[in-house]
Amino acid sequence: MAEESAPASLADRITKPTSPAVADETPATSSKWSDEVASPTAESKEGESSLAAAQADGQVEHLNGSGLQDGRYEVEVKLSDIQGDVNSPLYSITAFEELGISEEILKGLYGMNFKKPSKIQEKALPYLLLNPPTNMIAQSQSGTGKTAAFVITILSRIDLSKPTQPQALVLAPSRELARQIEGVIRSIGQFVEGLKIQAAVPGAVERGAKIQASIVVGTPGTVMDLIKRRQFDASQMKVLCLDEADSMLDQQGLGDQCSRVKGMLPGVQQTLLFSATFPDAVMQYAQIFSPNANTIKLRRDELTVKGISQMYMDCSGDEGKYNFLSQLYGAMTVGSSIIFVKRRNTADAIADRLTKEGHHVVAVHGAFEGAERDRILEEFRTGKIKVLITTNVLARGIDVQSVNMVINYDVPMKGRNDDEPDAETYLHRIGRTGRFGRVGVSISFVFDKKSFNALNKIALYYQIDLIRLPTDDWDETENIIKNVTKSSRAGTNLQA
Amino acid sequence: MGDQTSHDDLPSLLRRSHIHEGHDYDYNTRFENRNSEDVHRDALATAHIERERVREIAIEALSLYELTQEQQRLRQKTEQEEQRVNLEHERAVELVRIRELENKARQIPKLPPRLPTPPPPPAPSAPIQKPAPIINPPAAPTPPVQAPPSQAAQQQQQPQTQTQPTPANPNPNPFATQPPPASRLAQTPQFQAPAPQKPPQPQNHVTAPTSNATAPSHVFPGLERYLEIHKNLKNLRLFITNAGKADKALKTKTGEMRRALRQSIGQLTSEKGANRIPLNKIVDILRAALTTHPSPPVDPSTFMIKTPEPDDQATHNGDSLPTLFIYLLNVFCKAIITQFIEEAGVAPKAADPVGVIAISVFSNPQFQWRNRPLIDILIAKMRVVCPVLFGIRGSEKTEEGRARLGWKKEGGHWVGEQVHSTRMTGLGAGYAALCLRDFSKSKLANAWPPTHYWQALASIVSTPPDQSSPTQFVVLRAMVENYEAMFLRFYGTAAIAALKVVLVDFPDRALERNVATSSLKVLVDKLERDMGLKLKN
Repeated sequence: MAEESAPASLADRITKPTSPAVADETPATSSKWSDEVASPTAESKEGESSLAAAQADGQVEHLNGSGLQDGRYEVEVKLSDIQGDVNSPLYSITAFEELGISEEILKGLYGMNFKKPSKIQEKALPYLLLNPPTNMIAQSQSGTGKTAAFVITILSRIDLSKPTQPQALVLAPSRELARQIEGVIRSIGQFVEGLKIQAAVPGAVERGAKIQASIVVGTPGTVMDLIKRRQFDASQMKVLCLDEADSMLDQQGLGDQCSRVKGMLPGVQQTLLFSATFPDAVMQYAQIFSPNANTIKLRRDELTVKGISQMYMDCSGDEGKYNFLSQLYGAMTVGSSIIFVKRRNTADAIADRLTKEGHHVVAVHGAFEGAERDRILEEFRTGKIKVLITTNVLARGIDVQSVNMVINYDVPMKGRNDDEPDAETYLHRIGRTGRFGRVGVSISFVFDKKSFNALNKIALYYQIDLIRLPTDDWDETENIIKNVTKSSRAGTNLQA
Repeated sequence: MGDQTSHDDLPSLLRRSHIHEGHDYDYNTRFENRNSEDVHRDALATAHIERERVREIAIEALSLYELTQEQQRLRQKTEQEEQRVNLEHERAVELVRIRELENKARQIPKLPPRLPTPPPPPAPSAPIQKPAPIINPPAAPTPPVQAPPSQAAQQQQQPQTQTQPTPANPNPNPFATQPPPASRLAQTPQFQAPAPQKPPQPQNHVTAPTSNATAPSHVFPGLERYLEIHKNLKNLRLFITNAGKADKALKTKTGEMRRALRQSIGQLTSEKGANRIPLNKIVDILRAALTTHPSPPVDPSTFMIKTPEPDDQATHNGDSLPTLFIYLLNVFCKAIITQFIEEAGVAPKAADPVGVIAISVFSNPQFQWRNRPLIDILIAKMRVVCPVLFGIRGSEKTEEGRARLGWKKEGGHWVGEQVHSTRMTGLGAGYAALCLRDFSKSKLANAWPPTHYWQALASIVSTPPDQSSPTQFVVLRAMVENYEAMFLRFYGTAAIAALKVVLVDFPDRALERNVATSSLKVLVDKLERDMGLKLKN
């Protein structure tokens, strides 16, 4: 089948240090679809075009009038339409049931409305669940199910008869992310009996109290302290997982802490590193951190998610930015949204103005206490708050499914004088939307030459077509957003 | 305790006397005073208090005992009731199975010739030229009409609720021999050549009742008419768009109102009292269209299933309403549907506040015509985007089947499975949010009462296993999840029986076990864990 030979296929780029006996995987699966679905016939094309003619605007007036029908003369759906785009990060041919996951975990996945494994899950899980346990370094785009992949692995590895004995540790760069992962483990493991999870983030574990859970999720510093103070018995640790691994290993402090934590876990059998980005420099270190790992890597042009429509607005000055911001909420249907700003006071000022217009807004930044940040994020997650304004704190990893608009109120910059565009942060920011194949919109504001150039550089770096939104005709803006999202959606599941 | 009258105990009684407090009061003095009046009175008082105390304890014990008895009796009754419902329900399910088996048996000889023959070329018209009945109806008589049952009636007829699938199941053929598809086709050109300058002419509604009378019982009444309403709304939108081309101010104004409506709906949250600003804004905009912005009149019955009779009490009792008002209601409805799809598809709980606002607007007398809600505008849209709710079925493996199920096409291709399932989740949850609104404390009439919820569930679960599709399971799950408590509140025991059919029997009957059926069945475990409601035996 054609898609098997596609050069961009992720499967081709899984490198293995050793070659486990999984080589026959591809031929075995490739015959599956032809068994299930008959090959497309010539009639199908004709049927489809006349059908399209009968449908104005995607509607189906003529055909769905009756509740009953005789299926024998109907035209079968084309194979390509059923399969979707083989290059999509969500494309997969397997079902969760085929991956050898326990019934209890499967139930949790159903409970969370998971339907099919994503590509990263489909490719990585067979290796992750392999015995004896092997290390893995995996890269996959934002919102493609990395967290679920390692959570399933961890849940499959722990011995539930020892619920208070720590056996798996997940490290994340921020407390928000650690809390979020904790939540995902709870959801996927909701039907796993005897499952105990504990968060090891600042302020969550009382001094002197012992960690009494089989899975611990935390930030490196806190975990290190807990082990040192003997509150955390790491003697029987089996799995260590680093989420957003590149950022953890890259940063001076965090990287050291991670290494030290690793040194305190003598018995670890499996070290997993996951991230959406893996700069080359970090990759080398990652391979030392997680030796002999199976590696799944992406090319740079595959990094951006097709489902995210990336647009920009040329605003005249700072005041213009605010007016356009508030208008955007009418120009498209927004579930939840995140606005990224550079300075705390901008965040607070925008929050005030949007609140007056009836939005449920909160600004969150470093000035907040840890527990307060947990609470705010929880309210955002449950939809009590629908607009979140933040500085970079939340750029990475935070997954709130209903976010379908991300605004770069300020273009992300880095460097000593903020003079260099920060492409990685841009990618992580816009990755807060378009989760798991859904369509999301990202709009960046530029207002002067500097911001325009910076955004332009980022666009060049990832080879994205940024679409300009007019600011003087909102009917037109509305139309453009509608059409761009439509074609983004098409990009998520259609043949190239 | 109660032997305070005994003389041996006198010292202890004396100790209780308030006139003998203090430790220095020695035994002798007490002995001398033993016959004094004070001592006597004290003793009497003490006795009285003690008697009262004991009596109270006894009464309390008695009432506790009575309560436990009552509770036990109630529990027994519930169990009996549950058992009875279960039995009835099992009987019904067995009946359904027998019918299905009979049908399958009849189908067997017909099937072989199909395999070697390739599908005939003119595909889209195929359903209409369908040959004679393939599946014969069993001897069972079909109930003549299925009017939407009133809520009260529903509550009493719980045994029938399980049998509801039975009549619908075996006889798909009334439709096969039915003329309406042809007449429908004949009508269409009329709609396809609209006069853009004029608002659409009111259609006569003869078609609706006719198709009603002959439609299979699982199909929602007025199904065809909703498509006409949908078409009429499109024409109306076109009219406004064209008018806007000529009149820049109108274009700007309608654009602003449209975006304001969309933004307000996007702002809704489930927090109590948090939606005041957006709701007020929506009401203001709609009101402005009725009063401050004059626009040509249009006959509202064009957008209703039935033309209501004039009503003197009504706020709007004339022959028409402003076009702009209907247009904005249309925009409002569209925004609601998109919010369901975009937001509730991934966060189903987000559907609820949107449903609340939608129903409250349509139940508001100032936005009604002749005291009847204009909610058919919203339902017409629902019917197009999520036909499964209205009893329509189809196979996901065929072009026509997908079209019937409301599977969206974009750029000539079907949208992906995930996208479709997300849409259906949002719309299922959205429909539940519209249907299950409690008006018991309101003076207004509910624009879309809960019977519609029951009706949608019933029409889906009455699908024979060979015609059911994952779309239906997805929609069912979304309709049920988070709405169990509401459903139980409206329908009581009948709701439990219905949930059993929806979450246990219907997925169990499915020919294919897949993620959709498993996801639906997980709700059984969730209900047991979170609400203590056992649906499995």
